[in-house]
Amino acid sequence: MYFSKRGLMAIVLVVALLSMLSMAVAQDEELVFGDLPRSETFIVASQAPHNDVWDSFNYYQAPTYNNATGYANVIVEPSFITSHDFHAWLAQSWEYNEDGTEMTLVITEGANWNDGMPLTMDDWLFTLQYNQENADKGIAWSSFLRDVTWSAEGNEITFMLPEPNWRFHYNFTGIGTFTPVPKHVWEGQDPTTFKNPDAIHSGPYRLVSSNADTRTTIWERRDDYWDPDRMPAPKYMVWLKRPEADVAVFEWEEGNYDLGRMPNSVMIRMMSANPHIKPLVHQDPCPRGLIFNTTIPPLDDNLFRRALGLLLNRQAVANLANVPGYVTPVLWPNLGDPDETYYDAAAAEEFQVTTFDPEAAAALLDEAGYPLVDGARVDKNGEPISLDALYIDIGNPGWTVWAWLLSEQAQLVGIEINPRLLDIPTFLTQGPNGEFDIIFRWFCGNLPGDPIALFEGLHSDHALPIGERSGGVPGRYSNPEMDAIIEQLRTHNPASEEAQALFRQAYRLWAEEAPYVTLYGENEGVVFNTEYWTGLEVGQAWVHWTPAARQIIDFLEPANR
Amino acid sequence: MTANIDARADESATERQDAGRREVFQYAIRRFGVYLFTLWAAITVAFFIFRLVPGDPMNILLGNLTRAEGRQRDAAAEEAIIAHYREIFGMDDPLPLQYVNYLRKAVLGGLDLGPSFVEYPAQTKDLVFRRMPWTLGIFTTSVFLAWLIGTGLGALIGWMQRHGLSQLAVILSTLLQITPQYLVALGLIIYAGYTLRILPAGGPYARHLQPEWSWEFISSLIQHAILPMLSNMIVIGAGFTLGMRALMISVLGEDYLTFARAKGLSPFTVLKDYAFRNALIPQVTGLAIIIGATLNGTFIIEILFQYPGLGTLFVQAMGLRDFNTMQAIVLFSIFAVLTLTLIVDLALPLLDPRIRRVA
Repeated sequence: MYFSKRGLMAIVLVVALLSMLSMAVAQDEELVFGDLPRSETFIVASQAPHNDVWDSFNYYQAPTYNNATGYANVIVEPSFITSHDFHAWLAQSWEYNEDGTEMTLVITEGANWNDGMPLTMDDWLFTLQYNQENADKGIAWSSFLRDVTWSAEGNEITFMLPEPNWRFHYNFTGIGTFTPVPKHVWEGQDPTTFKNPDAIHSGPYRLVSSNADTRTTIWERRDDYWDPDRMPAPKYMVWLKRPEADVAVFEWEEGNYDLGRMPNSVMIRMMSANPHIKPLVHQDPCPRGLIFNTTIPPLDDNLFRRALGLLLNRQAVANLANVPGYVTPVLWPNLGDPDETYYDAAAAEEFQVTTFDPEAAAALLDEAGYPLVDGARVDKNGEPISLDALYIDIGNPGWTVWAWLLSEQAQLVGIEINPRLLDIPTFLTQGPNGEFDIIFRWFCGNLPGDPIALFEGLHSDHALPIGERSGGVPGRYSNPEMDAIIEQLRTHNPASEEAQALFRQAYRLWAEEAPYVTLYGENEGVVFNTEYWTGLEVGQAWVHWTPAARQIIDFLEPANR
Repeated sequence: MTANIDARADESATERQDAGRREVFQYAIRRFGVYLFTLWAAITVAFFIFRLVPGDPMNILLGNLTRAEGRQRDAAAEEAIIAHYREIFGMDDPLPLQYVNYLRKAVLGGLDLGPSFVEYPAQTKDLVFRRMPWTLGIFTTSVFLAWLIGTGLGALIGWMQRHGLSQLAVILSTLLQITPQYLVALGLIIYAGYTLRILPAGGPYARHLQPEWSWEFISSLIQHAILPMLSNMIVIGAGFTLGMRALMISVLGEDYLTFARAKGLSPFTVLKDYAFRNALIPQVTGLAIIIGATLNGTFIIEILFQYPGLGTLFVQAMGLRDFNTMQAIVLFSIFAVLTLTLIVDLALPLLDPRIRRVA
């Protein structure tokens, strides 16, 4: 075949034009992190705690590992995800026998690991044995297996418990709970030092790279994920630790991140600069409240404590929060509408548990023997009352406003309350050690259908001497009546009528004694960039530092740009 | 007779040289002794001071654990985990015993500074060795460049003190010298990094790269280092400029300069060989002082630029009350500063024969 000179030139021209066109098309596709198409990459700008581990994917090191890599969020999959309700994941259901001494767990069949190997009953049984054998190494999720035996048949594991325990399933349903690990990876490894360098677990992504210098982890979606119905849309996920907020704000304005947390103070500015940025508000499951040190006069007097509760203007705290709907008063220790199955409405009214009434507070103080002398309330020894209220500032207005409002109201009735700002490590030490008068705190434990955690921390087992760390509500509260109720609640099926009656009794006692008081429920603000991805909306309960994020990424859809 | 006199003179000169060498050696030994003592004192103070700071690392650990466990808490399990970590970190021993163990392991145990919380189970020593090059890289380079530029510029504007440009340079240097480093850094991030987009505003290199001997990596490394180094250099360099200018002005009135000019030497020779050289000695001492004073400023810059150096590590360690890591950073920082200062001190006699004679 021969071409004329003109023909050859035409071919060369066409080829050159086509190359230029393809280059132009290629250039239109914005690339990030080297060669990842931006439209297929979901970027999470994490505000992780200080732990800075980027080369270890060891789920057993829960107290020390870094959750900014995304491993714990989207790669480790739990048995169930608890988000509003229980969602079956690596397990399908659980069932107790009649007396609560056995629990049968049905596991999900057909799952696989992200290295392609099948996730089988062998992995479950290996993990149970492995956790039990390594219980003395300070690893998470091992102590619940103490004195527990199990047997397996088909896709069911039956646990034989040493005593009735209607709450054994919580070890599989909580936010970070027992989950199987691959036997072929972990067998023979030390759970305290093994790094699981390829980040093998059952999630829908594989590790591409993780870099401690740049604090960036890149994941690529795998096509062989075990549940095609839950295949997430982003082909790539990049999890990185964002810079300080003053600098990160520019990254957000330029659309370089898709999801992450930022202080409320810069949210308005970011939204004005980049119209794709939306705030996502989700209810934090742990309501906030105040704990009183019940060993120190006059806080050892329940009437005095209730008077302080009456000085808390919960609505004002909510109003002073700078994002509407960010903070809402709590009507009982749990969030949401009071559930009368567990809640004694008459007690709430009688003891005015969430009422703001300074006059009633003053009357109660008079009645309890704390008279006003020369404008100051005095204690039983005639000394003016002065208390410290400890708080921390993490950028959420509610965490600080309460202390100043309480101080202002207390001053009006003659009590001096000094708000004291602490840094987080000091706060986390002085609180559990009982080294406070009044301290701000969050109350986690609102499991569906079982509010035992709201009372469990009040057992006198936790009333340790001041200076020793207490694992319960650290106000050193001690009341044999409360102890007796809690001890019965521990062994009763929470769904039984007996247990529900006990819950109402515990509630009444709590309302009368006020060892701690409720303050407000808080919504967590997260920033979402809708330029490349949509699908995340207000109302989808989630907390992005937990495995619940695994569920959330399934909502993502590519934006029509 | 003359030969005898010459021989005695030679002998005497040799003796003087030997005595001089001995004195310089003794000076170096004394200086090294002070160096070791300061190092020990700094380790000791750091050990006890960090433990006086309120906040127990185990409570922070527990906070992480509680968050990991979410709604389901098992107090017994938490206690077991805490007990395990307390043992690993040697926190159950009395404080004096912890101190003795720490010193013993650090000195006799091949610099075993214990495990770190920040990157558990990594050893603190490994962590610090990994982060230290980043800090020393931008810190020493920027300080020495700032010193070189500041010294040259200061000499020039001191020499041309009556020139309008010189006065403008003085005003500018004074303003820059009193500007906090973090403000300069923020300004560079905003304008150079985000407004003009001429240089990357954070990180040690592009996030998708891995350390390797490739041009892509090396160029990324250099580009990412420019703004943090500039933040350091601008403020420190301004200080050196003003210092050198003042030294030059004080030297300019000396008789030997008038004599040099009277000899008919060129102004450049007078500046280079007479004025500059005599003004240089205090400026070298100033470098030794500034090394110690500016390391903390570099730490702030690291945090703003997300540089994975000791400053960032220190903030993380402080947040976790990770005593081992905090101590190690202080130890290595002091070691680095003292060593650099020692080198500068020992170099002074080489620069100035008068110091040799005094020594």
